[in-house]
Amino acid sequence: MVIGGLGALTAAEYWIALSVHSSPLLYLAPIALIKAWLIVQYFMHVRQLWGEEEVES
Amino acid sequence: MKAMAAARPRYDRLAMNRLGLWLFFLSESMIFLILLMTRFYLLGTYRPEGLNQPLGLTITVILLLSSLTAYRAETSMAHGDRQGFLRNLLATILLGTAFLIGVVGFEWPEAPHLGIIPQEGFGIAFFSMTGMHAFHVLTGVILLTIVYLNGRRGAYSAESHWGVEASVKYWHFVDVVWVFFYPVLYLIR
Repeated sequence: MVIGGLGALTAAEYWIALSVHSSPLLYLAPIALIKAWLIVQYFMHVRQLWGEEEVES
Repeated sequence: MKAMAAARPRYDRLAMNRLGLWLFFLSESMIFLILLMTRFYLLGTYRPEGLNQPLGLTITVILLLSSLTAYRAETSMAHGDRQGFLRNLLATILLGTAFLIGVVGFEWPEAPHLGIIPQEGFGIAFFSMTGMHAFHVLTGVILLTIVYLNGRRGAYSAESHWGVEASVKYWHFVDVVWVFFYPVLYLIR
């Protein structure tokens, strides 16, 4: 699910870079932020810092 | 004192380890943030047209896939699936190595032929940013290899695998950095 979202967003980035000619940064910056959030939230389990998601290690 | 220590929650040590790791990520982020800011300060949104876009996309997909296998490796260990852990960690190491080969073996030798010279203009930003990131990928691959070898010796269990968790989180951090570097180097203009 998460990797599908990351893949779709990466494809969107690539498409934007090829087809949007004026200020693609306006679209690319929010996409990069969403991708980073997905990784930090679901792969890095940042919520563990607040004790909301406890996985024994 | 002993009674107080006994009353302390058991996960204190793990929570402190995690906090320390995230503080380390924060300090590392400063280095990458400075590189990003330098790129925009020196060049604005300029990028040369000749960059190898298919290669940039390919190595990005490779790194994203490595995050999935790293996640699976950690989850497998958390559930006591040692074979799944070893299989996914090995896949992560191989994908990380493929990313390194893509950058250092293909992108770097090709860049000067596309007019991206390390000593000038875009080349300074390009080689600094990809170089610093590739160095972190290399250290990540080394770290994951050590964890893999330890895992083969049975050093981790479902109850105790902080080494696995920390190294996998580091790998995800390296991926997050590339999430920002990829559009900034290859896509914006």
